[in-house]
Amino acid sequence: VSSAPSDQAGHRLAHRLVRALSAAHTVEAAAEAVLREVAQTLDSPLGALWLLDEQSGLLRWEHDWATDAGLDQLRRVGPRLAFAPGVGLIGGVLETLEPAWVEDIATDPEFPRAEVALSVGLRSVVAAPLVSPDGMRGVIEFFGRHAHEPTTAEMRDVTMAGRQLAAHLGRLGVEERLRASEESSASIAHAALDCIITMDQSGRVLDFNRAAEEAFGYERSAAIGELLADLIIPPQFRESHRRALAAYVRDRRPTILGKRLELLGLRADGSTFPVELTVTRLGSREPPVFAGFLRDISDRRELEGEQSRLLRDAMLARAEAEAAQVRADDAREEAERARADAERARERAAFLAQAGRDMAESMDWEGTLETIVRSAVPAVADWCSLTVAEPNGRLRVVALAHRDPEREKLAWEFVERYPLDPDAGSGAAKAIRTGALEVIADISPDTIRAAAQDPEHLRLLQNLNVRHTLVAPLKTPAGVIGALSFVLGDSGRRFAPDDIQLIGSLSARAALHIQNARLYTERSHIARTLQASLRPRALPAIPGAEVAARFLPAGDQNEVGGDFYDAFLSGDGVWTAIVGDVSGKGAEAAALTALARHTLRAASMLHDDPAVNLALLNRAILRDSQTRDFCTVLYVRLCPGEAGIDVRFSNGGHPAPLLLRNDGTVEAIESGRGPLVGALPGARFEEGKLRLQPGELLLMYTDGVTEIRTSDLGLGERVLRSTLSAHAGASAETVVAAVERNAVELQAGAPRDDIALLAIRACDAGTGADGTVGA
Amino acid sequence: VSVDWRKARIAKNEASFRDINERLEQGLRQVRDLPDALQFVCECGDRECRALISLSIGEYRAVRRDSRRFAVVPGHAIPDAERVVQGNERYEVVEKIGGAVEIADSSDQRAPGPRGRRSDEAAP
Repeated sequence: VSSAPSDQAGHRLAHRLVRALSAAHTVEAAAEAVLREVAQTLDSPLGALWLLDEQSGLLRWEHDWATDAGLDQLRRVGPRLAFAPGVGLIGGVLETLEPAWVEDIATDPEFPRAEVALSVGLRSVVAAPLVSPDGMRGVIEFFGRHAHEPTTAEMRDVTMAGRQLAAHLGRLGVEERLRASEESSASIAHAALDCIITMDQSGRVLDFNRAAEEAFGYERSAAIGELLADLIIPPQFRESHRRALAAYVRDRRPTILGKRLELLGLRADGSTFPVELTVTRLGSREPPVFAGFLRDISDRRELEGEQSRLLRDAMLARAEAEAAQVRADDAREEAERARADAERARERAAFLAQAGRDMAESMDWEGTLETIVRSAVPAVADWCSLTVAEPNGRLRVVALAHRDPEREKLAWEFVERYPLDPDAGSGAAKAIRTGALEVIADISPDTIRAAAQDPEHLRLLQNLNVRHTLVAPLKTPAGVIGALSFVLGDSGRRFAPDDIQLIGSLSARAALHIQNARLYTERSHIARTLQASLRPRALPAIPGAEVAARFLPAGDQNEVGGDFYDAFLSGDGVWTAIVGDVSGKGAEAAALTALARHTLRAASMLHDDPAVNLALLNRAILRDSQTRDFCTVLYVRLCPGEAGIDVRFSNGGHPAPLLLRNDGTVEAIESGRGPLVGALPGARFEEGKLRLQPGELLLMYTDGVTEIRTSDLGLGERVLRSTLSAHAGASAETVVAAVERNAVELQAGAPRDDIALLAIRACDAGTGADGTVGA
Repeated sequence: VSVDWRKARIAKNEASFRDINERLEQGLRQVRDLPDALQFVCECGDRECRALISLSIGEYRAVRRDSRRFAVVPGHAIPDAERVVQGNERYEVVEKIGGAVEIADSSDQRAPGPRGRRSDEAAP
């Protein structure tokens, strides 16, 4: 280095360095250019570049430039050296970051390469740091062939060259790293499992990674340059893709950028598959470049679809189970309802049957009415009353029942104090008038107040707590005979359709029973009157004799006829006693009984002969065209005397009378027997005779005493005989009472046939009967 | 008695099946990727019916716009209790008549209270 460059020369060097560096794209080229330009400017035979090894912190030889091969010995030394900060010239620059020089290598003990340098004819060296804003990068050095101190211009040029080279190496480093990064990114992209497709702003493919090749079925080379939309987007989505891309290019509106989208991808073979797409802009370069990251989510979709199907199946299964539960509940509810209906029907049937039995137990008119209202409480209503229409048109409550005995009294007080108005617009009066059933529900306190006739009436109504009423007419073929009124209040119940039906049935039965009871009562009265007319009102008093009788009709009290007896005075000191049994029952039997009784009464006054009188009765019956019936008759003529009673008798088909001796023996008097009376024309009757000694008793009886329903045909007669035998010497009255009692007991209290008994006992000496014994 | 027991039972069953389908539809709303046709329980009043019907979500919601209406398998309408107002080969829509309307209205969970929804009313 022999001369310093001028400022102008310095500018020219700077320009040459800029031009040279602009063409240098590698460290080697840049170093070559800078070392060459500076060495030529400084007339230096050798320049070298030392770069900082950031890992070791040492400066290592990187490149040199020399004018001739005679310097090679020194050049070969450089690569074998490394300088730590502060060591030698190079290490000193590294440490101070300032340019430095060695004026004469031969005299500088601190220059490690002095021997080699001197050997190739080099005496001086100047060095400058390569400092950039990023920091220290290295050192450049230039040797001279003469010992000398560098000029200011030389120092300026070396320093400038160091800065420019440092800056350029910095740029080269950035570019190198960028390039390395891009290569790395490209490698990653191509190795990625996801599809990575880049495109430009026109939508043409810039890159297409291996995953994209496999997913879409295109070669990378074929895909690059094609429109992305035409390549991998199904036709129906292309337009929206183009619009989104255009919107971004036009006004940077990021319609889809950065969003995760799920859509369909189109394969080269035309098939589609679900993909997840994220689009992003790469860097900020203009025009923009976009990268699309796509993932084939077919498997995921399939899994999701399977999960969805399983979930739906589970939900549907649950719904079906719930529906099955609804059906089961419904079936159970219907079964319970059916059971409840059946139970109610059974209860109704049982109630009606019981009510019918209760009503049937008695044909007594008053008793039937009471039974009817009692049967309805509390099963049907809280209280029930029965109103009848009397012949005079008045309405009368004849029976009433309440679930509460105290209220029942109150109800009676009510109906007695406030008789029903036959013209009333509702209630029993209306039902009886119209024959229609009436239901009044939800009777309000206001309605009660409005209906009250006076304060007392109101008080009774309020205390009776009437909420719902139902009045049913009692209809018979002859018309409406009354009404049943049902009231609900205290129980809180209402009349249900079932109740109305039940009440209708009950009312119909009640009407029938009431009607029957009425008829039965009337018929019983007639029958009793008629029956009484067929027997003597009183037995006669027969001197020297006791007379006692019993009559016990069998079965229905409405039936008249059957057995009969009579005892009467038929002449001077002569009495007649008759016991008979007419076939059949009813009006015709009663007529025959009357005929027999009155014929024999009349005949006994005309003839003494019992057989003649029976023959007379036989003819009378046969001549009576009104009857085909017949009868049995025991006709006895009694003549009491001092030594007893002379008895003449004739038996027309009747059980033989029994004679009870004083010693207790019993004798059937079989004499005087003849045929049935009224059965055969010209029948002949016999006469028998006997004398009742004092104390002896003659019992006349009908077959109802001995005909017992048993296989032991002789039982009744044996019991009769033993009863008589046990009562030897007893009064006539005592005997007939015992016979009647034993006969009834023998037939379990209900004789199946009439029983008639007539006992005549001859009084003991010194005693005599003076009265009568009623039947 | 406003409606006889049988018709009331039919209406009650249909309302119960509607409730079941409502819960099913609410659940299906949470499921991704529903197919076009979904299966629901036949809402007919026949206790023995175990059939399923196929409706889209839209079709199902259209039925639910009227409290009186139920979706049933074609032919499952009960003539004296309801009338068919629309239908296709997959399902029929029946509309309750008479006293059963009150039951259908009062039991509709989408329209709490005694008044039900009517299809000709504006959506809330």
